[in-house]
Amino acid sequence: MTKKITKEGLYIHIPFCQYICSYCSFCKVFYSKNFVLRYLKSLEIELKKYDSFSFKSIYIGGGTPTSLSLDELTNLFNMIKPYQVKDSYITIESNPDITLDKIKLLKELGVKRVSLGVQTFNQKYLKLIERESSYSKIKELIAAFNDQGINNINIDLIYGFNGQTLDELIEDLKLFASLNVQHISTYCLEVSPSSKLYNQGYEALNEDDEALFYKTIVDYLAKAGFYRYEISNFALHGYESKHNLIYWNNLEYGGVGLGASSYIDKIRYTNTKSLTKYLNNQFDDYKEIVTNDIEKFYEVMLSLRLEHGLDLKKYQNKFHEDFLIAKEDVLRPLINNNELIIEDGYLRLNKDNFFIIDFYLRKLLF
Amino acid sequence: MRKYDLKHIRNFSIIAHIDHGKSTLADRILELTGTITKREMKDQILDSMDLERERGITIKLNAVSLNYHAKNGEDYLFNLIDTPGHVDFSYEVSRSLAACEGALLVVDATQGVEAQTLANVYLAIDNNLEIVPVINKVDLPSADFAKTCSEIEEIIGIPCDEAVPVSAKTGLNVDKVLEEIVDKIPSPKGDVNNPLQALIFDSFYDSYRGVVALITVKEGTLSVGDHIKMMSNGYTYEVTELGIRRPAEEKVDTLYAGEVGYVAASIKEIGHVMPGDTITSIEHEATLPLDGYRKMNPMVYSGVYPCDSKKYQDLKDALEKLSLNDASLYFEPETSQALGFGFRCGFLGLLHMDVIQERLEREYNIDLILTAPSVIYHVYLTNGEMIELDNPSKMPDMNYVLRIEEPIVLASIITPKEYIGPIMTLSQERRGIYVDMEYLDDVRVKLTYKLPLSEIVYNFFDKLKSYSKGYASFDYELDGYIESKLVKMDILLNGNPIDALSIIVYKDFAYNRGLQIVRKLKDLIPRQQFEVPVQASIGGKIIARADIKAVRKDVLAKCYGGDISRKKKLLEKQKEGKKRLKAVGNVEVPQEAFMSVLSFNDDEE
Repeated sequence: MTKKITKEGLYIHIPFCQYICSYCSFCKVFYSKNFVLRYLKSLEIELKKYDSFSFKSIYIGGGTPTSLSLDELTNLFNMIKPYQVKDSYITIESNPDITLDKIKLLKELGVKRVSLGVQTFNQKYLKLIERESSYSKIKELIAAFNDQGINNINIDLIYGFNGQTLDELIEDLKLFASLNVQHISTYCLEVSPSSKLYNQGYEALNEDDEALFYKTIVDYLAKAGFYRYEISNFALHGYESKHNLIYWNNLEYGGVGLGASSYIDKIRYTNTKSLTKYLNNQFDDYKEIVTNDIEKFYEVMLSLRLEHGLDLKKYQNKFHEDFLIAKEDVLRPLINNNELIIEDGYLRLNKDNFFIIDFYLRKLLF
Repeated sequence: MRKYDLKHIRNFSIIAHIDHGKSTLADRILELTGTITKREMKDQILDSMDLERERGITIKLNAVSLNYHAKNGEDYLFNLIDTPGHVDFSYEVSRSLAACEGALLVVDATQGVEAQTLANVYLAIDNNLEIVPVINKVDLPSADFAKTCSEIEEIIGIPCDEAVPVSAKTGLNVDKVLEEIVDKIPSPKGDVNNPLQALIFDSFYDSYRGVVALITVKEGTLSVGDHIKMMSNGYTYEVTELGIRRPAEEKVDTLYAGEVGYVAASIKEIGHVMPGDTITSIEHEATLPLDGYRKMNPMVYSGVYPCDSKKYQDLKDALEKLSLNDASLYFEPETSQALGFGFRCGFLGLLHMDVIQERLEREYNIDLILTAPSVIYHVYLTNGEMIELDNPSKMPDMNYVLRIEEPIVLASIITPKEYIGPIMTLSQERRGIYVDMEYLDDVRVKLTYKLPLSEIVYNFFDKLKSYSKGYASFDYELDGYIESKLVKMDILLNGNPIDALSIIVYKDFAYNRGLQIVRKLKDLIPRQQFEVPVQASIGGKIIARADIKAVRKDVLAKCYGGDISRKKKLLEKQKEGKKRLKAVGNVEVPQEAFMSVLSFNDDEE
């Protein structure tokens, strides 16, 4: 067997869910034994395109990957075994209703990090997004993972419900920060056209309150030891998401499954979002050749989302161009105005401007 | 087979109010003469611009030649020139009428005679055309043939005993209309042996052939290879192609007196071909040109600027091309502090302005910013001078202004009597002065008002339609200038006066208008990086203010499963959206904002 080339990451999408949350706009379908069987077969075929690679980080997302049965999960993990390096870092997304035998299985299968879709503890908003959960249940669940030796846990927080008050948000933050977790991802509720909420005519919160809530989150979590390393990601030091950093650092990753994306050998693919097509092994849907200029675009777009910003020296080495000189006209006034900051060889956003990052991206990228 | 003696040629146009079925009738005639088979038939073939089909209006006139085998056994050549029906386009009508000897007057039997019909019939009568009345839509249950006939006789004064009841939709009696054309409309006069006189009534640009002129040959003959001269400017050319349109082009070697066709002569310079000009031949030169057209003057002026300043030259080229077959479009270069380089354009009315804007954006792919339309004010200065002001921002300091006069129009509104009340209210709100009220029959009334032109350029017609449930029709003519209490109102964004937003307002309305405008702008202008005050001021005194908030959120959602291409696409889409915004100083202003200064109180909720 020839030696495999090591790549940074592999994303695997499992679209199945036992129930569908009202805000969800991703690729998801109701769990069905028959479809899972066929899906895993297609997944196995798609994986073959990576036969010459092995991946340092593997992220299994969804949908709800833990909606698969014990057998199906085992089957899935056997499939990805050939694509792992000796000690691949495996993350899986889990719902709060996961059973103890599945937790034990995940540990056996080599999972090192779990991402839990908590979203909120406010019963009013849980009902709205059609999820069930409670603080005590989540606390027990985290303890159960810890008992099995899985000690790197992320929880998701959603804010920006219509009518949500600052007090309600702070109550959530207090509960989130008190849990034994190492990472918190935050999402401002988006009413996307492919979600159930959209079809119900739901309107999200207003722009001013969303901005206020975001600032509140950043300040509150910082006090609790979770520092912002990316616009919407907060972690204890040393617990940043390795997998997501692959994206933000503009590195290569594979992607398999419904709607999954990949970036390998200067080509970005996005898979079909049609389950029918996928089950017929028609996988990719969108293809983008990443030219030198497009790569520059991504480098800036992605790295400015990070707290530390764009590594100017890395940029210079990669593109043989000084970003500060190339964009001097646009940069100078923004830097003079303290909207962008150059520090320790990095160009970054002023900390107060993360919620309006796209304004700066449009200025710098077009 | 196309050589006809003059006796077998009929040049005619169709006059009708908008929606009375003129284009449908034209289609039936094309079908019936076999010019177009049913299979080839798109609805309303003569309305060839997308815009025309979408809006259901005819803007450009269009000529087509057809053969007709009449009941008397002889073959005739019909040249049909379609005409627009909207109040803004009477210039187009006057051009097509000058090329004809007769006109079909189409009146909707369910609606009766409308104000615009009157205006166009009078134009036709002025041009000595034979009028053939055609009563359309007689298939509809609400049609009243007899009443419509008596209206035409009473109001217009044309005998209707032989008027043809037709349904252009079903085709009923359209054959009779064809016979009427043969019997009633005179053949063109003119002599093939006389020196050449050909009237240019339209033209368009073709990148292969250069300028193509649509002409009617009034005297003499014109052949390929002839050397021709434009009589107004003396430019000479050699004819490279002649033809007629059926409606597909069909090349011919010669056009004879009485015929309608097109001529190409490798003319590269758009400005050399003027609608209304006469073409003669160098070999057989006429001494005098034909009577020109009734030249229409623009009524409203607006600044037209490219959103992207790099497109200035493209805009110039496009305006030149459009003015080629739209002599009523006037433009000259202008500079605005806020908008950069652009043009001050003159239009016949708001619909005309709309159409030009849409054609520039669609056919020439130039995103535009138009400033609020303005009429021409006469500004009398203390030094005895008078300036004609077509751009509010150019208003001199009021210390040097003695008085300002504004144009007024005499407007006739024909309406069913139950809407008299609301229409009078509307006219009074727009500073109208009542002149006359006349009962046309026991149902319909003709109201005459003197109105400031500035009060009708914006949405008066729309309001009239909504106040009368669509029944009232409207026409106007310029009626001189009167002195008025007018002031210039400036709009400030972030403390800076924006020249492109200045307007002239009636003094007593100024305070309310200022308030409405700043509120409207606050809603229209998207949030900016910083808070932006919007102020209205008169003579340096702020009379109204509203604040645009700073943007607080401008961030794309997290990407899932690493779909980063999508994020790039979204950014690109956002950027595309921003292109429609014009950076004025450091404030990004959408196109509609410049027009919004015209909003009236009834636009408020």
